[in-house]
Amino acid sequence: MRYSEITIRFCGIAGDGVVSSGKIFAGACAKIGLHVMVNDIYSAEIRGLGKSSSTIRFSTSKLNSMGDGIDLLVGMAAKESIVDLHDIKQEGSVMYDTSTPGSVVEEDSLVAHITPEIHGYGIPIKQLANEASGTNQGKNLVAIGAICYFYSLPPDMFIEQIKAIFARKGERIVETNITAFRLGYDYFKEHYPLNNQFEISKGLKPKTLISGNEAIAQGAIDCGLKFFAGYPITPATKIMEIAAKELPKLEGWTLQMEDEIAAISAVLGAWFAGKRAMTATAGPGLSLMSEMINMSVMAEIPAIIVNVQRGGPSTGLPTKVEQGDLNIALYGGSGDSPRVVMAPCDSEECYNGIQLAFDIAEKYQTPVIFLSDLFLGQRIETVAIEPNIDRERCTRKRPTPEQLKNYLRYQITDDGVSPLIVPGESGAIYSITGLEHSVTGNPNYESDVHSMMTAKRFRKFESMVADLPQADIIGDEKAVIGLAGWGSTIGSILEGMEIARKRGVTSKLIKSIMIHPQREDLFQEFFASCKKIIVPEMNYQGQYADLLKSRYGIRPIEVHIPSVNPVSPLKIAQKIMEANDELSQ
Amino acid sequence: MSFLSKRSVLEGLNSAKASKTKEWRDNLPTWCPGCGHFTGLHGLYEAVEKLKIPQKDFVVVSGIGCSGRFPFFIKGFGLHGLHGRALPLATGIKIANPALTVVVVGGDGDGVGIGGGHFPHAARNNFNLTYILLDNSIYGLTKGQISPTSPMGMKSGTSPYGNIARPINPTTLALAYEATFVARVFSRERDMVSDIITKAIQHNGFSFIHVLSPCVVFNKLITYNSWHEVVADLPADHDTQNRSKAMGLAASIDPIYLGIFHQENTPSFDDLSQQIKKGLITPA
Amino acid sequence: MKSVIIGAGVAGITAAKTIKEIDRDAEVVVIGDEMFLPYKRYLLTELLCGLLTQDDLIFLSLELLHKLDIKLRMGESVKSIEPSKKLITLHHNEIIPYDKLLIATGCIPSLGLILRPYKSYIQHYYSLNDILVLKNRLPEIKKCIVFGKGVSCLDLISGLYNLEKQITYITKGKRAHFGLKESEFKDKLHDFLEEKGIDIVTEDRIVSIDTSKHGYRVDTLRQKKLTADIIFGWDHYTPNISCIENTSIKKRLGILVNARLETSEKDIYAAGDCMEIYNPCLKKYWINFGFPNALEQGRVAGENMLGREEEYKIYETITFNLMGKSLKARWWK
Repeated sequence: MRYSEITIRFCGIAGDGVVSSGKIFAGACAKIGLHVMVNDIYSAEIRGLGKSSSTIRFSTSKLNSMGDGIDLLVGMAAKESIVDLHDIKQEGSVMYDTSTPGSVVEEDSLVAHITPEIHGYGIPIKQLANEASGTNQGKNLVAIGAICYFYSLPPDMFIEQIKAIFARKGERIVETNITAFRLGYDYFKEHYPLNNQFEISKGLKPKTLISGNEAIAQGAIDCGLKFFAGYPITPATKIMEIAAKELPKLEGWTLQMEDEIAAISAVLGAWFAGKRAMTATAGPGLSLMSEMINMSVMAEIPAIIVNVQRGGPSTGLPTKVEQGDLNIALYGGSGDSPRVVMAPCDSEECYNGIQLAFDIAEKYQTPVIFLSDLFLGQRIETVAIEPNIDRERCTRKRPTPEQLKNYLRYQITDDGVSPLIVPGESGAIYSITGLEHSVTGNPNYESDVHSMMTAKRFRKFESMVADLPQADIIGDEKAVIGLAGWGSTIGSILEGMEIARKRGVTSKLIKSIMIHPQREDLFQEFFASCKKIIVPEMNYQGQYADLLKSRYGIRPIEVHIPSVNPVSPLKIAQKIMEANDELSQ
Repeated sequence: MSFLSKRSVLEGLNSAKASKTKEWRDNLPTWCPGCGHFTGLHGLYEAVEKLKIPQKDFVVVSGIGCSGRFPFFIKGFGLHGLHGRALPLATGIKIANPALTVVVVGGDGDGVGIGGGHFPHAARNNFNLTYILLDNSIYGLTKGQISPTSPMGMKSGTSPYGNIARPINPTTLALAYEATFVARVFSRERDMVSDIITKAIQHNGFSFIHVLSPCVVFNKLITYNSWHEVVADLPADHDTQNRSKAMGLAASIDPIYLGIFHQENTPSFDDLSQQIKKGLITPA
Repeated sequence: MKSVIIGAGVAGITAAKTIKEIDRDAEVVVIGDEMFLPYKRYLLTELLCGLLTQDDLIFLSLELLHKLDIKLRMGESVKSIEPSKKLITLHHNEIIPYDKLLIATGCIPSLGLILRPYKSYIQHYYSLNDILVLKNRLPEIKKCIVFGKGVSCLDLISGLYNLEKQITYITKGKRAHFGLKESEFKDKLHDFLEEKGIDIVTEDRIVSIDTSKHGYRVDTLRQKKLTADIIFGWDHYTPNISCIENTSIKKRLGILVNARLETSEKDIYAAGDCMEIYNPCLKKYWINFGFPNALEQGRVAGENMLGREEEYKIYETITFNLMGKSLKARWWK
């Protein structure tokens, strides 16, 4: 068979090196110059029978999602991989270890569950790993070697990648790993010579791999992040780990706090002192931060809160994806509590979007909740991010000398934004509060003052619109089936639209990193041009659909997918086809 | 009762009216006449005046409660934060700009009740913060409910049968939390309050001052008088380097010792983080 | 009742079909070591020549497999059999219990002592996998050497001839006869092939093979030096019965069975090219090769596994299509 796009899944338990398989494989593919997307799934338990899998999709053209189904399953742990057999496409394959010690009964045997629709390839993985290293280490490299031959990928790139990844572990480890790789490659070549051709076009340039979490951390650092305060939480911790390592080198600091309340508090403190600061968390942490986010709204202290959504409510599904935190982000404050909500759809938007978030937060003295999700945050993908580095960036509106003569912290202005100086700067001093306050910052509970100040805080959201990016409209402009989506679901929507287009039904998509505020004019115009509107999202309620319904008065077809896995493009395509059928009736 | 309250009222007013510190006075305090907090405020006026801290570099952070309004009564920058969150807010400010002098003010409910989870971490990190805990053993702003430092048996709107929980001691907590400067003062002793606040601000690292600060309106059990009868200065030979000894003295309830229990010269958060920033310590 | 059939060739699959057609509820597991759906091996040369597609070769389609509810396990081999416990162990240590077991593992071409060291230089020509690999190589092949004696050699030669390859056939015999002692061609086969331009080297054999820049160099016993892009060869076919090692199942070259295709062990049967059956004409045990025979043996084995009492009758002739001419042959005198 000839392929230009492949999806492989490594599946195993702790010690099988599943996640590092994904990393090595993805790294080699990126070196070759292919487009790669990797999605790791693991259980919340670190040890024991916890199953983990790493799915790698690679292609000669740009990838938007993890697609549907897998071409090859590598069952490192036999029993745990059985359920993954269902994900294998027609004519797909599974590799399994024939050198498992002890006997297995049929029910627990991966091999026994292989149907004639797919091909099984037995390899003595453990035995070959032992040949290479004397231990079970390197099992994953045996498998990678086999796959390399199976799809006739260039082994040199893999060997280079093995060297790069294991160099710090010493020469011996590098050598045994390369041996394991070669043994896998040779074994497969000898026993299954009839391999597939992955068509690598000429002139491909090596690409870099980045996860959404990494892109957010890097984007923030590049635009002047000076302080990160956080509390470890899956799946957001990676952002904090990067900040912890990088910020001290840049005169900044990262602090692991005692809880998320302390984290967001310290972030507000740093912004109060005039420094760009952020925190990153997931649902449970965002819940804890609600009160301080309200303080940010009321006292007009900027804040950046990255929320990498996982399954909820409560502790929920720490290691599974869901887009269920839109409502708390939008509406999670007591009182009239406007906040900016942004949602990037890929790593590139994570990088550029977080920089926009900082600019908006600083300029408009508002909290920005940046909604990523577990899939987007942890998946690694090849993207060409244009670095935008300005570590002294500042969008703060400063007072004029005239304004300083009688400085009012909450001066009423047309755009709602009051000029701001910060502690340590000369010219004025002030005290502020989470209580309602007058223009000076002093507590004040008068009805007129409250009305005026509430209006001021909301006015910022109107003036902000001029600074917001346009909404993107993708697809066939003339199409009458329109989709609207947010976050990582966008990738699946784009791929679903492409599947539908190949089946003869065109559609279009409106997407914006801005959830609130939004370029309402553009959305209004888009929806007016559609006869059917489909809003797919990964939650049960249809939280984004609810927002669009109330905001634009539309009646969309809602697709609620409270799935623990990324959305299937095929499912989106089906919805488009169904909408088309309804229209033609 | 009448004698005591008159006297306290006078003391309070006098504290806020000291003329030397005029430059630092801001809005007129909203506390009840006789409130112990006046002494804390006065002490801070004197300390910052004495230390010649530029107002632009001075930040007071508070939580919620009677003590929460503190920032509005003193010049400089002020952040009246959320209930219990003064310490982490101050932490962010101090790390963002280590040149600032940051003083945190809070009450007993704020500091060892709702914000009790933040106290140990601010202390053990040895941030260069001064934390003044004004302890009146009551929730005053909500009109008199028991607090974590209220004695057993205290009756209040939320403890109509009497408080059955044991009171905690903020001074021993601070010692246990590895604070590097721990002192206790009584708001009747104005000079001592000013002196110790000054020393606390000068301390390199986290300094904690437990102020016995009576609520003359809602707390009928713990009063100027009741405290006056049991307070005593720390023994003259007390070794401020000996944390375990300090613990024993701090735990004593009769007498209740006043003074500096512990003061340790050890690298602060700023010192250690600077070493990392300068590349003297490299990551694993 | 669970019937396990080792071997997904014509005999094995026919047995499976027979069982399921008679008893819908019987559980049937077929274990085959090839990675393809059951196919008709005798048509492989037609596939090589492009006269048929891979689908045309399918002997049991997916649809039928599902319809009959046969569990087919492809690409797997049996490591051992324990007749006393009625268990088999697969190569990857999975254990499968059975009530009735059929061994239908066929024959495989193998090399004698002289050629065995050159195994890696000799192209396999036996399985669908071999043919698909070979098909990929075809464009770069011009000169072929074929060595061997069976009728399958003749099949290969006719295939290569159709593909317009240059062929040298090496045989130990005085004439090329492919074991077809009685055929319509009689002794004319040799001349017929030479007329078609096939180079036949008689009374000789390959003794060594070496690689060269453009393929292989071959030395023969009679010190002929030949070159080729590819070498096909096998000395004989042997029943593929390594799975019965360490069992008490009686065998000679193949597994010995009675007329009901029962082996010496209870509830274990054998069918197809892996077994030997008593031939009353020859008055000895003998392997009854060929597609029609395998088909009939599969049917008989299947029925007997269900407890019926069927006897297998030996068929004597095979039909063979040779370069457009129909050829009927018996393989013994």
